[in-house]
Amino acid sequence: MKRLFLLIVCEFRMSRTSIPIHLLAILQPTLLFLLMAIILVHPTFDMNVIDSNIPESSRFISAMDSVRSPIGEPYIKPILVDEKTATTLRQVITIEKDQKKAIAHQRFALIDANLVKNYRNRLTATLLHLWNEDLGSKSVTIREHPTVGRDLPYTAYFGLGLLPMAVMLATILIGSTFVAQEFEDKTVLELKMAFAPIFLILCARLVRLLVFGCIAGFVLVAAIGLSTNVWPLSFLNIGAIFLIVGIIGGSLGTIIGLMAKRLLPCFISSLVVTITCWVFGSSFGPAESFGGNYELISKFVPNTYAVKMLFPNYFGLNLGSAVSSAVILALFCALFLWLSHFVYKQQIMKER
Amino acid sequence: MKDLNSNAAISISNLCKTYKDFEVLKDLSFSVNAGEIFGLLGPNGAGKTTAINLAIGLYKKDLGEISILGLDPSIHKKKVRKLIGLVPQDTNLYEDLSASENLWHHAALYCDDLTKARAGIEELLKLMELWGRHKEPVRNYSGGMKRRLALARALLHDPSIIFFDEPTLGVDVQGKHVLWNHVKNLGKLGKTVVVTTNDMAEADILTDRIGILDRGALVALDTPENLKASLRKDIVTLNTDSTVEDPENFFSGLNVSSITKYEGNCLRLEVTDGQKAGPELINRLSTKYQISSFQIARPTLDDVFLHLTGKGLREGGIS
Repeated sequence: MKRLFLLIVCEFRMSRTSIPIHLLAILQPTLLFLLMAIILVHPTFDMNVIDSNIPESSRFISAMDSVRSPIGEPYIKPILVDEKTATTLRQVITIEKDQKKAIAHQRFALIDANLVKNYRNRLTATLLHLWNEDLGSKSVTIREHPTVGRDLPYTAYFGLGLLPMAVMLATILIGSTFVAQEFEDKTVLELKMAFAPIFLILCARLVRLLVFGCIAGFVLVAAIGLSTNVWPLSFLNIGAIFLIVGIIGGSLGTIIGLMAKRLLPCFISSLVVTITCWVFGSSFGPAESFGGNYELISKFVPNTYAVKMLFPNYFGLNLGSAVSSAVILALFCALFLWLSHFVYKQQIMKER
Repeated sequence: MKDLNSNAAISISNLCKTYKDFEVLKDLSFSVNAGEIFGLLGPNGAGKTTAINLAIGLYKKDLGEISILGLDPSIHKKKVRKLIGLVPQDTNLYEDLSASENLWHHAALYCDDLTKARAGIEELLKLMELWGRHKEPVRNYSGGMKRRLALARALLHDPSIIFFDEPTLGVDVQGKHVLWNHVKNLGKLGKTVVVTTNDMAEADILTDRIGILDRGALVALDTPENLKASLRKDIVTLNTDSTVEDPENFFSGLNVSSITKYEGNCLRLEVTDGQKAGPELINRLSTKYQISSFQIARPTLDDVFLHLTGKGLREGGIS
């Protein structure tokens, strides 16, 4: 125990050898999240409207104000503008009377198809609102009943999908580059000749990587919470998931470092592995909703199961069985731990 | 060239190692006595580092036997590693850690008794004259300080045998002398030391016995004095006012066995008996040239080394 403690202390001291890599690995996912949070669409859309002072116009504007998300958040925020200002705007709606009916003209400038789609379904909802009012009991009304009492903003889901990636990036990148640095600086000879048990050496390194992995994860948790006000229901559970993902990442990083042995290939391989796991790990939505090859590949990616375990801890809802996800993650963990031990023996301890 | 001794600290017999169809060691046999400082010399790629790596269990032998204090390193890896300390050519220290942090890391990996390690670290840092700067990152240290720290690290787990690869490579003159003293003291303490070096002066000063390796085979094994005496030659170095034309012909009949031309009008002659040949050479030269300097010297280890291994450049070895 004393030896393990001393090895852990030494491991943390060695963090000084690559401070920029530690900072990059810990902060990069949070920076990515903060940048993406700016780009990702907010549920309430600002829509510019010219009030033509006809009854249909004021009814339409009031209907726009009434259209809500399933949990009652406004979908549209009408902003009244005059005709002179309208010419400078990217989007504006004018309601004009044409004989017996009113027509809402929506004019766009420099707006892509995706954004038009988002305007379109909100305006359809506005018209449905007017339709229901006019037809009263003759109409079919759709009533939405959300089972979760709060909105599940995509920004928060995106952040949640980034959490396993944050832990993985820190553990893989720091783990692999440190091993490669040991080969490049030839300090690996100290390990080759050592007679301390391999599992203690690997365990100490893993402790260090787990600490940095958890720091990276919780920095992102804070960023998600502060920017979306969505916080985990249990920090303890989140921490436990980070530890499992961290063990997988740390072992993977050690393996990459031992195989590549050089800093630059290690750095690039670590980024490729981390980003692949992120993209195929249900990070942009549950894998089931994408289907096909994506769903198939995602089954072999630890992040998929980590996201499934994180989801209920954020939103109180299960994405499939949490128990089976935990079992699969534990199996990944055991496999990569064994692999790292095996590769370490092959690459460091074996006689040439 | 066998020198096997059953009570030796290190005994190597008929050792062969081939790497990628290249015979790195050919039937190598020698032994090192307990408490002896043994020098392993040879040109680049002669197989010195391979021999050491086989002895410490880093490489796998193809044929032959190795015994480290009676143990085979390929079978008793752990036990053998506890008995040996290694100061590699690249000091392989953690440059961002301090001297004491480097030693603590070594202690965690190598020391059985960690409570004793604290006292050992302080004692060794003081012995190596590093205590005053033990908290500084190693990257601020000079080459000599790094070498001394690497030696302290190798001694921390109290090994019986120390392998020292190129001990003073890149170290200034003062640093060399400090390191030589430390190595000599190890011998006095009963430690067995194996030094590989290309510096013949260093080998001459440090070692009790020398083995010279060339192309993977041992070509000489004796004390430095005996090796120098075995040449049975003296070296004459002379300078003349103008270039000696056709020196082989000019010095014929004077028992000159080898002539080497140096820059300017300098000549290096190998003669069987310097005392006898000196006056004869001066007489012969005076007939045609003016002598500006004339020196007769006993052969050095450099001469022995060149005599045994030739003067051509060598590269290679297992990388």
